[in-house]
Amino acid sequence: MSIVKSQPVPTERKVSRAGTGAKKLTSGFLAAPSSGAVVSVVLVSAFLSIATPQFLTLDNLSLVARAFSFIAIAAIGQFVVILTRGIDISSGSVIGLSGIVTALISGAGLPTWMALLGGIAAAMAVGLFNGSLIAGLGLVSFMVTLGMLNVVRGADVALTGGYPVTGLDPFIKSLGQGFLLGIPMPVIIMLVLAAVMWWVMTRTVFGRQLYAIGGNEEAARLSGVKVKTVTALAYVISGLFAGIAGILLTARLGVAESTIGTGYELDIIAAAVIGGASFAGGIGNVTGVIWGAALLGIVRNGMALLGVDSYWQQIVIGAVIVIAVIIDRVRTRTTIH
Amino acid sequence: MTLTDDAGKAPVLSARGVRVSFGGVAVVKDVDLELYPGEVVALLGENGAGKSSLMKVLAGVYSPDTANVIVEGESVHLGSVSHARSHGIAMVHQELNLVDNLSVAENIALGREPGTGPGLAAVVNRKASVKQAKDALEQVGSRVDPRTLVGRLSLAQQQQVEIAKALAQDEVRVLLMDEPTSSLPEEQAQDLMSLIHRLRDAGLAVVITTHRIPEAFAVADRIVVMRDGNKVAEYDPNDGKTSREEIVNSLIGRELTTLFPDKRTEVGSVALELEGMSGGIVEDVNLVVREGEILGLGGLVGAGRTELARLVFGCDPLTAGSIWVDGQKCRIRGPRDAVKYGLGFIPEDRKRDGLVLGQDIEMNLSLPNLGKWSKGGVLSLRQLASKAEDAIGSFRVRTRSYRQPVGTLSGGNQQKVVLAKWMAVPRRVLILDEPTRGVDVGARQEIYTAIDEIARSGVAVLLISSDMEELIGMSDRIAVMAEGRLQGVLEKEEVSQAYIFKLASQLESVS
Repeated sequence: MSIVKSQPVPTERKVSRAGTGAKKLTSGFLAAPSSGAVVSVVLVSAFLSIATPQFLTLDNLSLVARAFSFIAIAAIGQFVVILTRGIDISSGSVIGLSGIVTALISGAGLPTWMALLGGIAAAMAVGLFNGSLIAGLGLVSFMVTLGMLNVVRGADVALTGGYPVTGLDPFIKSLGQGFLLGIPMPVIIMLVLAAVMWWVMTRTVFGRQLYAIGGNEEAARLSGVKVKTVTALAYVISGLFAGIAGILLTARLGVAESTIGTGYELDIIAAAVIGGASFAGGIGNVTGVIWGAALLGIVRNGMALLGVDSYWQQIVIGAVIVIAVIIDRVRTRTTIH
Repeated sequence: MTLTDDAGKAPVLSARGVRVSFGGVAVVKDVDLELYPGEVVALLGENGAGKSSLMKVLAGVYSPDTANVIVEGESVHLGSVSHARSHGIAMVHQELNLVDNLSVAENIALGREPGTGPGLAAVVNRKASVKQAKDALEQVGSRVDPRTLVGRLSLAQQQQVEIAKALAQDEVRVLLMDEPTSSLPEEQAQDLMSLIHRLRDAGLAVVITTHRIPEAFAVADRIVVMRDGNKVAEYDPNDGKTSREEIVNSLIGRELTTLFPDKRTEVGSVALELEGMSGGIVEDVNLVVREGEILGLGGLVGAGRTELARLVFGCDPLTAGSIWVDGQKCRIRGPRDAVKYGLGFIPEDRKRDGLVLGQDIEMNLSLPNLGKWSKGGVLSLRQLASKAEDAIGSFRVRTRSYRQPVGTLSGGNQQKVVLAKWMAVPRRVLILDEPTRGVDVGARQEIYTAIDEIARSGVAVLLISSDMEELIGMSDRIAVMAEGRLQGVLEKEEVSQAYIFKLASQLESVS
């Protein structure tokens, strides 16, 4: 029983609009769902800057950003699903699928646009399948996407026959390996996609309806929102973003392997949740998700630089996820949602 | 349960200087309360007056800033629910705390199952558990089988189980009940009152909070009024001098002028026509609502009124019948179509069905109007903000800004947001299902004014209400339903409480 939640809030009282700007700014910041991730990124970065001279260099930072950009892109899609109180566990396999399909088409000598479109279409098809079953038939998202995690991974292996697919078009490779103004391409793409999705989530009817469905599905339905369609689209978007991440990751590696993206779904989900998305639905924002992915990336990089044993790295990453969830819990207890 | 014999003299519980605050805001301010064995005390107050908080302190749920509590002449510290229980203080919360998928007996024993063995490893003695449940149920006059699953029981039965659960423990001397009748229909509320009287006669001190003033008069030996965290007055309802008006005035701290607005005189052409509506328990309902008219829909709980509203709005499928808006036949397959035809629906449970509590006012206001307030699916935040400001102004929503989450507003203000959300763009028909449930007296009047203004603007209003006063005070005509069928429609001059009740309970039919 939490006292804070059931406390009658004195809303009737006119609160003076004055109040110092700085105070307002900080309290607004702390109440934002993503504040935990931002604070953690700053603290961890500050610590690493002192602990190792290699951390705070342009080269290293751009490598870190590229490393987490794939997770971040897929996590944006994941966040949209989590917003509707769902989960998409199939992301890791979808990352593999889009990369493999793109590589196969490109390797067969077909035009670049066809390869990119093919990869993305395959990923969105998986999303559409997930969404149709979950929203249309009312199945549990966890089980449907868990099933698809296996189905799609099986398809990944079948498509490649277990051998790496080579022959990627140089333009596609440049999307993963290239730089623009010294910034890795995947990072630029991540920022553009994040900006677009931020706009979609805050400025469009679709985005607003997603928040409403997550917050109270019945109220949304009674307000005339097409709950099933919008929910299904969330999974299509998750597929789309995992697909984009998959193509970029494959382009970065230069070859498509059947195992690409294996286990990524956990980092993707963790990034979204660390960034402030709540499984209770209706809470979170796109910026937070990027910060969440950044935190995971920076912690990984920092431990590598410090020469931490890889087993310990895994333990620390796991701990970060749990701590983030604890922070989230404490934070939502002290603010009213 | 043993009873105190010296009933009437010494207080069983005496609390002095109870003070509770949350985040620096005092919710209960230095309140003294004494409870005597064998009496029923009704705690009255508007929402946020502090009555529930005061109760929760006595039940050990909240820890007060200061409080000096004496139980049976002994100073005690009520640090936790189990502390309070051990001193014989039990509480029945407003929201029932029962586990649906456990049996009645399991629920009653929950947390203190009779059994042998240490802690969680104890083996439950099922026989003893059922026996304990039976005894407790007998006390409250309930005849449900202790082995039934709680989820299968009616709300009233569940409440009896909840009370039995509170009584099944220790020696209960003080029973605190928070809004026990708020979710019960009239008849079952009556049963509950007689149960409360039986418990009182058995020597318990019973405290209830309620919104219904007539109920307080019927059940209580003493009425305590709270306002803004203070105890403002005590009344003896049986001294023949205390009037309802007096209590209402001390509740809201000002004179309450007429609660209901004057009736409208101008009624236009037919805006909503229902023909042979059937579906679920609703059977063959024909109704007409004109523009500028409020048609009340009365009946007992379960008469099919909410079901009818849901049929009209497309929430549930029609098996037969048709809906006409402004003479045009409508195909309503879901709420989305209903919105398109200019219908609005304010559901009974605004928290569950009407609002997205975690989101702000602006977001909630925009939900049914997104189509009209966007261009090609793109929103203009500035436009939405100004629409929100307008709505807050015209519906007098008390809030800091439109960015405030609706979950933090009071019940009355939440309901104003729901009204505003539907009326922010012009509508033809508005269906209101129990619009003032859980809303305190002051805000209630404002909601009535708002509904009246909506009707005056030419909207056809269908008002479902179980509150007779409200139904008669607001409606131009009143339709009464029972068992899914329309029993009759009363014209203005025919309306009387007795007539409505007779129709609703099928004692009489309209000639």
